[in-house]
Amino acid sequence: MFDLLVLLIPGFPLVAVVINGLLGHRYSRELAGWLACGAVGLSFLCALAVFGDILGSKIAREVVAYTWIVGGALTVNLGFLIDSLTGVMLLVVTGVGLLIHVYSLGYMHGEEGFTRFFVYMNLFMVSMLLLVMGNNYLVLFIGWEGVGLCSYLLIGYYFDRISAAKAATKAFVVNRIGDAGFLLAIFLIFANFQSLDYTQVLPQVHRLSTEMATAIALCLFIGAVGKSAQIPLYTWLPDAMEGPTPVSALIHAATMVTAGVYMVVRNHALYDMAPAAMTLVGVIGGVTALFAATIGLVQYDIKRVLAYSTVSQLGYMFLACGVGAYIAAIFHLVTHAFFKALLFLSAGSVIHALGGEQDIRKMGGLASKIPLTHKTFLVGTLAIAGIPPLAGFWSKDEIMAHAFVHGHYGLYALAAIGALLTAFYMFRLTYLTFYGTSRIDPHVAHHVHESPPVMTRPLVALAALSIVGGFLGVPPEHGWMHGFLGSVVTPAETSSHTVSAGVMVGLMAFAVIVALSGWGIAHYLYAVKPQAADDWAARAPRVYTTLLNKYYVDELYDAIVVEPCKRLGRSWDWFDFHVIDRVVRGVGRFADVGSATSTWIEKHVIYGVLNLIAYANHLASWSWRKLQSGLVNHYAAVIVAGAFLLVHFLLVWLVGGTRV
Amino acid sequence: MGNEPVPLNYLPIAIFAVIGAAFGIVSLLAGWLVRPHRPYRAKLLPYESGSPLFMDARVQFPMRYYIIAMLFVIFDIEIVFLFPWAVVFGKLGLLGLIEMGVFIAILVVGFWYAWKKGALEWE
Amino acid sequence: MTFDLVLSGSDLLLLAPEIFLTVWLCVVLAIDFSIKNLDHENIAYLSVGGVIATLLNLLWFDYLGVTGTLFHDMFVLDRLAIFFKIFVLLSTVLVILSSIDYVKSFRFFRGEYYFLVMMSALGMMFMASAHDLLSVFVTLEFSTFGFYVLVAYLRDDVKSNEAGLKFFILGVFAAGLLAYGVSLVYGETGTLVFSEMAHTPGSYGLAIGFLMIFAALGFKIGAVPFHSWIPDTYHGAPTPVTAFLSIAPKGAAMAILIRMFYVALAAFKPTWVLLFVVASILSMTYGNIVAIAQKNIKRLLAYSGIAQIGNVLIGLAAGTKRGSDAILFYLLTYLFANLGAFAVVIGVGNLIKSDEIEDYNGLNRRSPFLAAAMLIFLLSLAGVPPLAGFIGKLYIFVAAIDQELYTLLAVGLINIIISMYYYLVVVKKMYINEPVDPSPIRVSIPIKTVIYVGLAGTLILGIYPRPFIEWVVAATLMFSNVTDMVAAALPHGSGG
Repeated sequence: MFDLLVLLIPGFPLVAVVINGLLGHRYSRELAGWLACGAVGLSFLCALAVFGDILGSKIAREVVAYTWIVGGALTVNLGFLIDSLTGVMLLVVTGVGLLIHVYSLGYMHGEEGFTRFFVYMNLFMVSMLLLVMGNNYLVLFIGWEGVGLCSYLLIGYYFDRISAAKAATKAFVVNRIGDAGFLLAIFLIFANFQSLDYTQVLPQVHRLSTEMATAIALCLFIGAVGKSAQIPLYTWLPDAMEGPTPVSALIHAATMVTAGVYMVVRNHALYDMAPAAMTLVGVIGGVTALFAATIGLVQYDIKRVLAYSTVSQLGYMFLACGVGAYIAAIFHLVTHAFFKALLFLSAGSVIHALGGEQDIRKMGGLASKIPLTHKTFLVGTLAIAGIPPLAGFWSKDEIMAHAFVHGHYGLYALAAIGALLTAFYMFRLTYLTFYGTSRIDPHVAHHVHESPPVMTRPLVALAALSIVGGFLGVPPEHGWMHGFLGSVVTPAETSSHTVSAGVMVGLMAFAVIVALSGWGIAHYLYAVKPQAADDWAARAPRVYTTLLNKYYVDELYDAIVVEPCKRLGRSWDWFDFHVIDRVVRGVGRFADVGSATSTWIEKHVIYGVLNLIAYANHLASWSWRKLQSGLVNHYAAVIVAGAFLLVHFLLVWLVGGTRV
Repeated sequence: MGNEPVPLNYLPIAIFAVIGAAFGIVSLLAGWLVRPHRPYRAKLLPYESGSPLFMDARVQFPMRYYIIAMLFVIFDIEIVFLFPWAVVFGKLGLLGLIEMGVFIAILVVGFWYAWKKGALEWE
Repeated sequence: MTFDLVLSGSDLLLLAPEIFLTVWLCVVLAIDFSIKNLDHENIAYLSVGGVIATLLNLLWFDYLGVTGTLFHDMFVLDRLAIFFKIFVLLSTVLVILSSIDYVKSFRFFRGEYYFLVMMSALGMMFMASAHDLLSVFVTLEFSTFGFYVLVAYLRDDVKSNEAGLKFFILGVFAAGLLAYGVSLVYGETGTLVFSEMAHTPGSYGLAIGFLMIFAALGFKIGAVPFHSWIPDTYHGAPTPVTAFLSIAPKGAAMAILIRMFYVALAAFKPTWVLLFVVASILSMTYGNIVAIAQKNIKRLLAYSGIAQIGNVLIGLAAGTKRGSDAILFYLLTYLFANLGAFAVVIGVGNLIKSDEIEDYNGLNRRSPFLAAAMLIFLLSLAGVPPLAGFIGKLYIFVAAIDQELYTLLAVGLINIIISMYYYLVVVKKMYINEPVDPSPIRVSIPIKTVIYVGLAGTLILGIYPRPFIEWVVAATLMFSNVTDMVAAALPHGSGG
């Protein structure tokens, strides 16, 4: 029974994918949409049942569907590991996923390709569930690639936008860079353990040398950096906002991008073995948290602000991993899923109300026109800014407190400044969108309307979760979440630090002050004295434009990676094309030889020698074109040269007698 | 692999190759350096027993020559196989006869094809 | 060496598939020229029937475990040979099916087209069994003759003629290298049979001879630096011929390479590993980087094929049983994905008369089926799980790790990223760009069949690869002691 329930969790969406994918054009779009939502709903119910079971037994269980790969030493099952960590992730993925699916029914209503959208969304659910449920690294990797693929398809959902196409390709390729690291890690794990199952590998990691553990941990982290959009591979996430808003909420905020955090926590035993890797994780996380927040300060696209905020919040989660606060990382992952999904969906509701407008300079004064959306957005803002007692306060505070208590003062400082900026840009967003004078295009203004219930009900549900979700982890370090996850994630040295309650309360108070200051500055700049913001921007134009252009990182990557690659491809292509061209001419000349007279040969041989001398001169002057057109009269010469090069290589190496 | 550090067996070949190449190049170069350079058109013409040229050396042949020539080669090869086979026919026995039958049958299919496609018609 | 003419019934049995196909293709030719006004489609289905019958015959042999050698070990029928014969015949069936519409555009010699395809397939079947340098030479040339004609089949098309000429000149050149290599090896060892060479002492002549042979086979599989005929030939040849050329000869040549290096040269493994490491790195990197610049889908697939062969060579560089398993499995995954992709190209090309990637804009609007199929094939080629290509790459890399070839592994992984980029460019055009001409594209039933077979293969090999893995593991059972042989040979083979 338990096994069946586990298999049904990814099974329901998979069935929906197959049915909608193959037969979707035969019946109405509404039916397809409800089928997709129903499948996710059923898998949420199964997840609840499975979760209840874990809650009772607290035992990790493995369920094997079938043996996937055999051969030699490599045996991999398509199997699932169900423990408390998986349980938490399952509920987040299916629960938030369900709400977003329902919301999409309203948001995507009337869009072309409605059925296709839900096929991709369900496929995403399947992949994400495989990712969090897999009992070995390969199943994790399938899910990992699967979510990337669905993300690609959904970012590029709007056919008619060139920018969407570019963003989709960029997301996939950047993710592949991370994946290469991940794959390398998988191979290293296999080479060391001859197995890829968590239960075979993780209890054995203490056998590894520190160097090997560090290498594996770093390779895994490269994968996480790509998927979770950390420095230096974060550039794809803001561009990914080209996709429909529910996609941004589900994939690029609540679930997929947190996969990297899940992976690091899953492998925490490995990271505990590798202090250097831990430090790097923490530093990357901390720097990203601050860096992304600074860019978020000046952006004007409502979704882009949220995207940079996501990058920044993911940074907090990695910071938590880096300082060993794995449970806090998962805690923040959960609360972030609630409030960031809420923020995106509310933003979607705003965009829906304004007929597709995303620029906050063309909003304002919306609070009275779409009151429900306004309230839910405000709840999300309060939660992410860290105003107690909402969800974000508890999880973020725990991360910062842990960093401080364990002596990572630098990281604490990064996180604190980041928190100040977060509160500022989120309230800036709220003020510019909902308060002040309306800057809405008059043509749009009289169409503004609150979204239908199918969209607002998920918002209310998420708002409720954002308010109470934080109490899962209260009191800090000893909440329900900690007890539940403690069986899987045993932090290395939590108990060794006993901190006085006074310090904890002091840290909390400081966090609240930071959040309120951010709010205060935003209030001053955007509500009290609206022109002050422009004055500030004008006073430091270079800083402002640098931030507005996102530190020119995209341009930098284009210049140092993308363009050189393309250029290399083109020049080699040129070489091939022209070389082969010579062959044809060479062959023509060759054929002439047969029927030509001795005079002809004499003339050409002599001239050939002379030409060779001339080519040698060109060689000296580094004129590559001339060199090629000279030496390659017979392309075959290249093959011979290749063969002889290999011979030479081999002979030299034989005499040397070394082994690679 | 080989125990001797240098493949001495091949040394004569290398020397021979170098001398051969050098002979050709040196004599051509010497000729080019020593001889007077007075090129004119008649010198570039091909030599045909002293008589003046009357047409280009390169002429086009009808495609049919090639087809007939190729068919000829096929049957030539057939004969090449048939002769040695006939010499030892007695020893090969029935199996030998069958084998040759198969061989000829395959050729016949090809010949039949050529015939049907009109390769033997001179039009 | 003397030849006795002894053939028993059981010997003929070993040759049964080849004999059957030979008779069949003679019959097909005879029917074609003797019955006037016979539609070429009937010839095509007749050919497919014959090839499938041969295929079933081989499957039956594999099931029964029929093995043996003929003609003083020149011809060997073992499970490896059967695997590659099935590989070649499977690709032949798919190629013939995807040719049917294309052949309509030929003005002459429609029936002969199928004859030539089958003849090349016959040659490649013999290649899979070649166990002797002489038979390597003869079978290689035999299979290539058909291709020389096929590549230049579009008589009025300058590009096709050019392609044929280039292929011919360079092919003959490679044949020369091969003959030179064979003579050198014979001079050094006094034998031509692979298994008899296994214990000959090494020498420079032997090394040079085998390198010449490797160059010729490298030409066949299109490994850098012997690759440059590939783009132009693929571009100019009729698309179904390109499809055939891109898969079947590579498989057959790989059979010879595996036999040659695993059987004849097992003792010198440390020596030749480097050769494959270099060839593999060059092929992967060169193929992938140049593919980025391509604007024609056939050229793109040509360069991607060069890169894929680089991946296959990783398996040879590993030089173990696991390496050969991985090669076989990888080739299978490549067969389905590559032929599937070519079937889409043929289907699209038949209708819009273009192979430019630009013309794939908005394919999803014009034919969602073709676009989705192409997406899956390209993702499989790029190695995205859970498709077949991923499992193939996984096996190849695991084989490399076994032998601690970490450099190769790292280069391979980097190349996966690069390859993703150009495959996605095509996907992007299909799914996101607007079509210039939005009229729908209809595909004929034979091409649809090929695409379905490709999709089924790509998905099944990815999701439930177990039976296929067991099959390839059984096919290379004879190499299970290959590492031991190396270990045993090392103390004697000085210098290596």
